[in-house]
Amino acid sequence: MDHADLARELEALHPHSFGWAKACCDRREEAEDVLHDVYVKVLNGEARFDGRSTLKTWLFGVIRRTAFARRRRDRLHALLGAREVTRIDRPAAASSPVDDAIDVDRRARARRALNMLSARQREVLHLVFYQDLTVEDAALIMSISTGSARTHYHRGKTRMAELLSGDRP
Amino acid sequence: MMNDERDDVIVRSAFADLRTEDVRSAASFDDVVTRRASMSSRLGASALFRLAAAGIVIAVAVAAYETHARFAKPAPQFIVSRDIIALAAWHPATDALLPASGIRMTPIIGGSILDLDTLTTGALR
Repeated sequence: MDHADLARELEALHPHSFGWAKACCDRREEAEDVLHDVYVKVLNGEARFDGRSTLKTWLFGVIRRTAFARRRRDRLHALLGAREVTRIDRPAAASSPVDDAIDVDRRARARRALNMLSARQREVLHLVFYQDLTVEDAALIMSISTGSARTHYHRGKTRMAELLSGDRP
Repeated sequence: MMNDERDDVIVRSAFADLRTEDVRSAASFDDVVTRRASMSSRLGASALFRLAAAGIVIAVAVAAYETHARFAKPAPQFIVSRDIIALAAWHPATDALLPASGIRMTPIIGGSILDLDTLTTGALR
């Protein structure tokens, strides 16, 4: 796959990659930084796709590792007392009045429910339900066994459904 | 509807909501590729940060060495008291008479009487 093809593939996957990067990071700005680092690494050839899985699965693995490395580095900065860099996320694009109240509330409840799950459960549910990947692919991306991913998937799904059902007005 | 299927529908719907929001707010691919590294990324690569990290590694190494030196058991030493050293060097005053009797010298402490060099008489030779 040449450079132009790779760039086109990355661009096609960008909306999915953004969603996954956001799931791996706390803030949108962080997710964009992580994605920037990943794209530069891939386009410069520092990270090479070996064709052993789909490009999407491989790319998601790189995004996950990059996000974790960044998180570790941020923790180290905090330990070293590095100056806190305050950033304000860009506001999301204005939504139409129709979807406002109800949709905002629904998304808030979904995020709240997700935050009550373990990190592994969140990851596997995101990969399966948001990214439409299989549990096997999710296991590959998360570097865990398929059996373990399946357990996180079932427990996470049941718990999230309970939380969303119980939260329903 | 089975519980599992119901859970599936609920969770899928929640993620669909989140995806809709993300699609609307996502930065474009070009923006992400060409964006400058954030402040924190630059800080991560800065010489100051690397220097601080190197300083920590050196400090930890020195502390580990000193701790080891302080608490490590000293190597066992064999100490010979001064009395024993003095005893080994002692010679009787009557040693001077021995040559006259044909004996060359008294055996040294710890020496064997079978050692003919230290206990030989002219008669034995």
